[in-house]
Amino acid sequence: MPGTTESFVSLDIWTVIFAWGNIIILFLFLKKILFVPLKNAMDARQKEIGDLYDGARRDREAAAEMRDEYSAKLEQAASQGDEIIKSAVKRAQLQGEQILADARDSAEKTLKRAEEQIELERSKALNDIKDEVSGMAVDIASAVIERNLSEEENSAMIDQFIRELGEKK
Amino acid sequence: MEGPKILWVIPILGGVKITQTTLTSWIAMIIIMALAYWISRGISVEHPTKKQLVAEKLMSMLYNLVDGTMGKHNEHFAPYIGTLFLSSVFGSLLGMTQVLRSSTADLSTTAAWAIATMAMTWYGNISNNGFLGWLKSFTEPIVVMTPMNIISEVASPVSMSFRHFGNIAGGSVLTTLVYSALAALSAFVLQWIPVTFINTIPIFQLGIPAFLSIYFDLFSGFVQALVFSMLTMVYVGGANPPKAKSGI
Repeated sequence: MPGTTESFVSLDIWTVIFAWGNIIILFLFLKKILFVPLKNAMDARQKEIGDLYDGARRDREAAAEMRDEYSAKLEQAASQGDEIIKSAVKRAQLQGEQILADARDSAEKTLKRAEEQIELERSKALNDIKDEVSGMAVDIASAVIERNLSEEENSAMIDQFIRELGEKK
Repeated sequence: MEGPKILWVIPILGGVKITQTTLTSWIAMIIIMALAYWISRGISVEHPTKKQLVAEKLMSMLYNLVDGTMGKHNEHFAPYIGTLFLSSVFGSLLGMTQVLRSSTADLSTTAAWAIATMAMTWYGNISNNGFLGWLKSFTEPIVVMTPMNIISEVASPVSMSFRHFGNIAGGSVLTTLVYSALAALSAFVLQWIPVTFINTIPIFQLGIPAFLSIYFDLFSGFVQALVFSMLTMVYVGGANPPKAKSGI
């Protein structure tokens, strides 16, 4: 009955049953409210940190790879540039030589042509002079002999005369 | 020193007795639930509050202890162990209020917990080895040992429950004794003072019992909770060994 006390060392079935009930209720409550959510949060954080580390490692590896790639490319570009410059210089030299040779060639040609021209002009002039001289000679001769031959005969005679003159020289 | 007082009797099933012990365990339950609810509000993965960090620290201590004692495969027992530990600690410490009686200073409580531990052990043994395998385990290592094994199987919960009960109840007995001794000492010292009111003040009861209480209530409360939880872990862990690797 209420108000009385149990003995100091006693086993009361109702107290035992309440103890069981209490611990089961408390266990279910704590598991649902505290243990599982907290454990999940901790695990989630652990996983997140792991993911972050993995991501960082991956990014760093990718960056190193890219750096290697780019430095290789840079090196390649530098050597390519060198080659291009070298070949350009070579080509320019060749071209220069070609131009010089062409110029020399054309100059020679021009000179030759000029010489030929001169020669031609000279011979023409010579012929002119010859004609002139022969004309003059005909005039002189006709005046001298006063006998007018036909022009063809005259010029043939003068030509012969001049030729004889030239051969004598 | 008396046992727990019967507070109410509910007149069903031949009288359901509600004792001081039950009241204390209810109050302990309400306090633990309130704390758990307070901590559980706003659990965040990325921005944990201080209370969450403290709770997580304690949680990881609990899980490490369970992992270390029972093995990683028995981690799902951790919530029960935590519940048992908290029930024991709060049940013991509520006795320090001097208003409530420690729920663990009643053999009924500790016996209930010890029987629960043993039930879990038996359940683990039977589900792992089968009922016959469990019976056969009593005859190992040799048949002559069978009575010994049966005695030890019964002795384990008995010793567990009596150890916990005895420590907490003994602590409160000692505290009571110290109080009355200090009252007697006060009366003896103060009887030379002629003023009637002053010489009845139990002056030595002030402060001195607090130091004893640190050991007998606070320290003992934690240690017994730890011992009980550890024993539970060892027994239940022993009944649930890691899954045998093939070929061994």
